[in-house]
Amino acid sequence: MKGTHLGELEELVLLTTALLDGNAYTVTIAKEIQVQSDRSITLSTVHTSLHRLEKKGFVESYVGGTTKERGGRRKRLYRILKAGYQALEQSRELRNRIWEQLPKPSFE
Amino acid sequence: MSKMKNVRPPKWPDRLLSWYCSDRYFEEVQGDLHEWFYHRVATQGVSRARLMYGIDVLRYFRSFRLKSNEKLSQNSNYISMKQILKLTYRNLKKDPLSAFLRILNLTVGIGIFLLTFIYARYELNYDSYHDEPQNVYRIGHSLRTEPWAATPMGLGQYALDNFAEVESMTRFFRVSNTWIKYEDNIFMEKRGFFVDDGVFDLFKVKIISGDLDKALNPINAIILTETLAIKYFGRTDAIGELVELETDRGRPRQVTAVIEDIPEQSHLQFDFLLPIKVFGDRFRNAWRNWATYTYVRVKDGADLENMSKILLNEYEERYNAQGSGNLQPFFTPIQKIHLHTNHEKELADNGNVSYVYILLSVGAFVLLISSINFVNLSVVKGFDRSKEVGLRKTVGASRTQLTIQFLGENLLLLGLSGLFCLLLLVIATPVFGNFSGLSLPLNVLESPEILIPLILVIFLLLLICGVYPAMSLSKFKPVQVLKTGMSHLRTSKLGLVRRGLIIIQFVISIVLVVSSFVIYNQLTHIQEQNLGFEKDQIISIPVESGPLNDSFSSKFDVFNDALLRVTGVKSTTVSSSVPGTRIMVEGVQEIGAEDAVTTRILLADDDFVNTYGLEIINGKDFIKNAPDAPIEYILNESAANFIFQDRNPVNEMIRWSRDTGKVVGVVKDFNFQSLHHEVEPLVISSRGRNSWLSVRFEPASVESVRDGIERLSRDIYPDLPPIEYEFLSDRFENLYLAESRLRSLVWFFCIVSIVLTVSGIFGMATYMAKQRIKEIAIRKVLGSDLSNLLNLLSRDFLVLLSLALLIAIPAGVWLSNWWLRGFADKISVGAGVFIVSSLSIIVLVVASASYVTYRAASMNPVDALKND
Repeated sequence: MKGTHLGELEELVLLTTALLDGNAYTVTIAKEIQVQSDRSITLSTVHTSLHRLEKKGFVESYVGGTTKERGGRRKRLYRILKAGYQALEQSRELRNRIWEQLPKPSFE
Repeated sequence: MSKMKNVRPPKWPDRLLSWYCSDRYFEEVQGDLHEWFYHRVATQGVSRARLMYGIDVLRYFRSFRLKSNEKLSQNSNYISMKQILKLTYRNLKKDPLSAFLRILNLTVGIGIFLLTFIYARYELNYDSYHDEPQNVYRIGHSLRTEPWAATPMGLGQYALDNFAEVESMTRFFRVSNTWIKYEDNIFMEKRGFFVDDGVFDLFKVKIISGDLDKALNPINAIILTETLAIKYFGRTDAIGELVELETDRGRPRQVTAVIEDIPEQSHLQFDFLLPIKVFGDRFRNAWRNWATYTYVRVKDGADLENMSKILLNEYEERYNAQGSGNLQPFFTPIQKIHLHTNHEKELADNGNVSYVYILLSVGAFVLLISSINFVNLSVVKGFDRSKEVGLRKTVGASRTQLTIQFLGENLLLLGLSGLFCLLLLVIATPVFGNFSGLSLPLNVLESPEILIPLILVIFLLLLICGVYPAMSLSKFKPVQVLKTGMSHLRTSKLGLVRRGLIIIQFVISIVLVVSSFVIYNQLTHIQEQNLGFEKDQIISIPVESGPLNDSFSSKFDVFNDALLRVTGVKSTTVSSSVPGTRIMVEGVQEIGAEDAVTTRILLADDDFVNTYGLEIINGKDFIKNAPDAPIEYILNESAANFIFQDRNPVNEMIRWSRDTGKVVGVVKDFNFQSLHHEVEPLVISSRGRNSWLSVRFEPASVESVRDGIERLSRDIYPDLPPIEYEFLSDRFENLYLAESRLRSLVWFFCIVSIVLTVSGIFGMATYMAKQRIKEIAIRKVLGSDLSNLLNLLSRDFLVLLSLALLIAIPAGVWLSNWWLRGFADKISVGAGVFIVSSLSIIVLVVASASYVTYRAASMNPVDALKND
């Protein structure tokens, strides 16, 4: 399983990519993460994460349309792949499983 | 929106981006960035957006987005490098034995060579801490042909006053052994000198506290090294402290400076310095005693020959020896002193330059053996890959490309070995330090300069060892190798070049074994040699004749009487020197003869001959227990022959200094110096003098004698530091310290070279047996027995070994005799040495080849044949 580990940030980016189905690219993902988690994130971080996810076979990219703000430059859109979706599911199952075993904490 | 229309992202980050970003990412990244910029303008304002835009661009700077990365991944060299790495890894994995042997050989070979190189560099760089070391000289002179390191005291001042070329001068005049006292701390100190003001002009010592310019001004100044300051005061800022010296007769001295310890790489070691001004002008300018070491720094290009001539004039005038040719002053470059001089009255046991070169060449030989193994193993390994080479050629690889590929593999192996070898050196540091007493800079982290020779050696080896295998492998004809595999003719036998290389290996190993034997035998011979006197049962105690108060000699008689009553003490004697230390050289004249002759002269009491067990062959011993007896002389055989030729010396009168006396006896020659020297003429005078006390003891009661000396030292001299004593046999062992070290090192290198040679033979034999596995199987099926097969496979090596013996034996004889010429008393190199060393190599080689053959021959032939 070497090379398919999903880091925390990568998981977040991957989830957001899935969420923004069809319109997921660096800028929208960064904006969405800001909105969702209220944490400020730089474009290059997102871009690097996407690059890694693509290498791991979790997402694929394709060249998409352009908008005025981009000055006519095309954007690279990302789409989650089956392996990516499975990785997300696995990660969630793992967490659920551990949550279920968690004893009720008492913080007093 | 209309406002936003006018806002544009700043230009310079865009330019930066287009400069570094590869085309694969440029468009999307720039688009994203622009979009983000407008997003920022909307949320955070224009100025902040402009600022952040630049930062964002910089943040995109990651290696995978770089233009150079894109170029690199398309670069053919990069691709082939990647492939070379991968292939090398696979090849090494496929045959771990060969990989292990090759890396081991290189690691050990390079490591040992580097070790000897660092050692040689260390030895060759003595005394380089001075100012312009190439211009610093020690003035010496030779008397007849004997060179002296020490000169008259007046010489230094004369040189400074009369030569414009001499920029600065200092004399070093030894302070006789003395104790130094500070409060309760009192220790014996032996390494002190009186020096001139110019000393720090020549000797660039590093100051810790005090002012070097003024440190020698007060007449009662003392300059200490760091070690000594800490020994007495526990700290280095000791300026102004008062200490007492035995030699000062009660007047205190003031510490004026503390300097760093003298570098280990210097022939002139000292712990404290005193101003020479203490002595009056008359003493300082006298030309009487030859006991002062004179150092000068001259101007660039000074005419030393002319200066020597002028000095010669002065010498001849001073000693009334015009035109006698007996005296000859000379200048010794300070950096040559350590390795190139061994003069009379030398300050240190200097090294020997030929030993440095011997070790360096042994190191180079070990490297050569290991490189030959590397080449041979690489070439035979290459035959395994003939199909790979054939295929590569077929699909269009050029010979150059293949050569580069093999060179790349070799470079990788060399680099790997280089790393291991650095590790090896770090591990070896304490071992080598313990053994040699030197702290060599072997740790690469502390002394990165050893990387330079390492890299040079690696590249040299790459050129020498890499090119031949690479060329010979890339030479294969593709059709041939693909059609038939490698032709058996080429692989089952050794090629001519490889045969030659193996012979060289054998020769070197045999010569090294022979040399180790010779060195070992010679040193054992020396140590067991009967020196003509008793050295194993003597303890010697240095007794300086200091002032009467508070010194050892004050209660000497009490001490000596008490000592004679200690159980186990047989007899004691006082003398001016003991065997193994320097014995002075003076003029001795037969009464009635015209000229004095120079001989060694020893002053001793009436127990000397008896205590040292000298054999009187003519005449008798000194008269016993007669304090007012006239001076008498005893000669050794050499002196008797030297002074009296064929006449009988007994009852003749001779004179030394002001003592005229009768020769009463002649003793058999004994080796009072190291066996590097012939026995010199020696005259023993009965004028006893307290310089050394020698104690002869019963070997069985050695503990009682030691306890006795320590107890008497405490009881009789409660205020003095404990008396120091040494066994005479230790002193004689120290005379051969350089040889003992050389012996251990050469042994070690010899064993390493044998192990390497055998490992190479082992690797080659393994490979050859593998190649002939089917032949062996068929022979076995047809009825060959094991001995036939052993003969078949080891024969090649035996032939080579015999050839090597033919070369190695004459070389060994020559080399051994060359080394032995440095000894006055030497062993003869007999046939035994050669037989033993040849046999040991033959046995090892045959054993390793046989083992491999045995393994191949004892397997079931079916296993080898069933695959066809």
